[in-house]
Amino acid sequence: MSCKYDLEDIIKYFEGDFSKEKFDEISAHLEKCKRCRTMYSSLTLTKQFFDVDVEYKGNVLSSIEGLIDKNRYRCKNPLHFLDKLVFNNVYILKVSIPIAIVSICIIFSIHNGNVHLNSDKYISKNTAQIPEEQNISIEPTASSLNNNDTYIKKGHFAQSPNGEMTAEVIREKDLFFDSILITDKNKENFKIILENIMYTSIESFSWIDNNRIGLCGEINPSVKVYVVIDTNGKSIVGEYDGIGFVWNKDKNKLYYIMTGFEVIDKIVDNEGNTYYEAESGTSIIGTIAITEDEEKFAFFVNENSQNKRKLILAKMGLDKKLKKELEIDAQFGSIKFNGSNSLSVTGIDGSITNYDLE
Amino acid sequence: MDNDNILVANILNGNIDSFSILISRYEKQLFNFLLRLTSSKEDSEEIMQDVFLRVYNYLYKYDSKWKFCSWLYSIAINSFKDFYKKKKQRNTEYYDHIPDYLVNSFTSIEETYETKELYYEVVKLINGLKKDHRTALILKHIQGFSYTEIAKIMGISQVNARMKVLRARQTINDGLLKFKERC
Repeated sequence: MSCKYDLEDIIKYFEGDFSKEKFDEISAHLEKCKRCRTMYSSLTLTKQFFDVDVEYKGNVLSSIEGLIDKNRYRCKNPLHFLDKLVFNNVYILKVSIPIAIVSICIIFSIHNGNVHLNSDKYISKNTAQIPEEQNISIEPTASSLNNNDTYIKKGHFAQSPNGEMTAEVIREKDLFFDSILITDKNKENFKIILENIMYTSIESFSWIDNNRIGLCGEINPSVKVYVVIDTNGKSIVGEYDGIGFVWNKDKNKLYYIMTGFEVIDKIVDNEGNTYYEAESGTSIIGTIAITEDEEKFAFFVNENSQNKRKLILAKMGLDKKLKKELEIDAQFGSIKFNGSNSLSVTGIDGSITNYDLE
Repeated sequence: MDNDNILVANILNGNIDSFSILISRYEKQLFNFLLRLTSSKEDSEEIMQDVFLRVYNYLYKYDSKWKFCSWLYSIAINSFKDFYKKKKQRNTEYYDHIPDYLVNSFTSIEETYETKELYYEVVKLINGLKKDHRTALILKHIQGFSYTEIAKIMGISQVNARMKVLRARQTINDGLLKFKERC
């Protein structure tokens, strides 16, 4: 027998998020429904487990007393003072150092007579490259932007495949998150704030098709976040943590490696399907390559105990799981299928090795 | 300015006694938090020492826009990860059982045999959760953090934090339903 309530309703009931009427309605329902009663039990028993208060009998302070520098914050330590000064002014330093370097380069170039600032040809040639970080004022045309807003361009700009729209990553002053500034075919601007999406640097920023943009940011050296932005809906439609993101030919499925601390590495897609799980003691590294028909996958695995890397070729089974077909001792690099029976690996040193899969 | 921020300001002015007050305010709840993550008193104590040592050394980096306890727990999670990374390199395993002092707490309560059985099953299911799901669930329960705070502590999005807690609860619920079907 099925009932109209699900776990989220029971959680709301458990957390007291319902009105009196709804609360009474579910209370009465719980009397009758065994399934919902089990859901409620799982929540109360979980709470019970976490409510157990274990007494701490140790003494942390005495254990670390010998390890702490008691004079650290007595303003006598010049190293700490310098450390604090740098930390407190990190934002100013981050902006001012590149500006200072660029200014010095320009001054140096002018002195050497290499720059002809009045030459239109020279200026257009050089402004095609977007500067790394620069304070600019955008004059918005859409109502979503206020006049005189100040932004920092993050140096990532992309034009839609049909050339009608452009997108650029910006950081609004005093805002903790980046935004995407989109200019549509009518030259109207709107922005999408990447709220609560944290990364340290942007690895890639490009249009997936004429309506969607993909941004890949590095969270840490082993995990990235891939964000899918819908420019029609003006919203973020997907956010995936992992590595090796690759779209299929029709751009309707995003394959990637789900990785993380103490988690078995998996090859999954944006719909939550799992295709491959790394064997015990191994991890999936780098990127994934797929054939156009999505029948064959190639990727590298690392044998953690020996730090040995192997190129794996796997075939999609009828059960929609990847079956390992071939294991090759290959130099690590980026993988590319050339048709369905050949693949090439470009090593870190630039060397290309071709593999015939027949 | 709340009490924690006053203590932090005092420590940054060289008052070491305020640091001992700060420790005494948080040691018990932090110990309970780490205990649920590690299932080992010894490991929890070792990690807790590292947490407070990091807190002291990097206190000048603390941004008072954050709640102090959110900052403290984010350090605790990093210390926990580092601790087991090192431990893994030494080829030692995670503790795969829940210690008796956590399980047996329920026996003192006058409950039916069936409820106790269910409790043991729930404890087993919690212990078998994925590490990040478990961490999010512990943060929700032990400290009663909001999803925004859990997101900040774990360095993930708010939606992701909500999903991790929900997935953890779903896993426990599914496991319990299966257990009931078996019985």
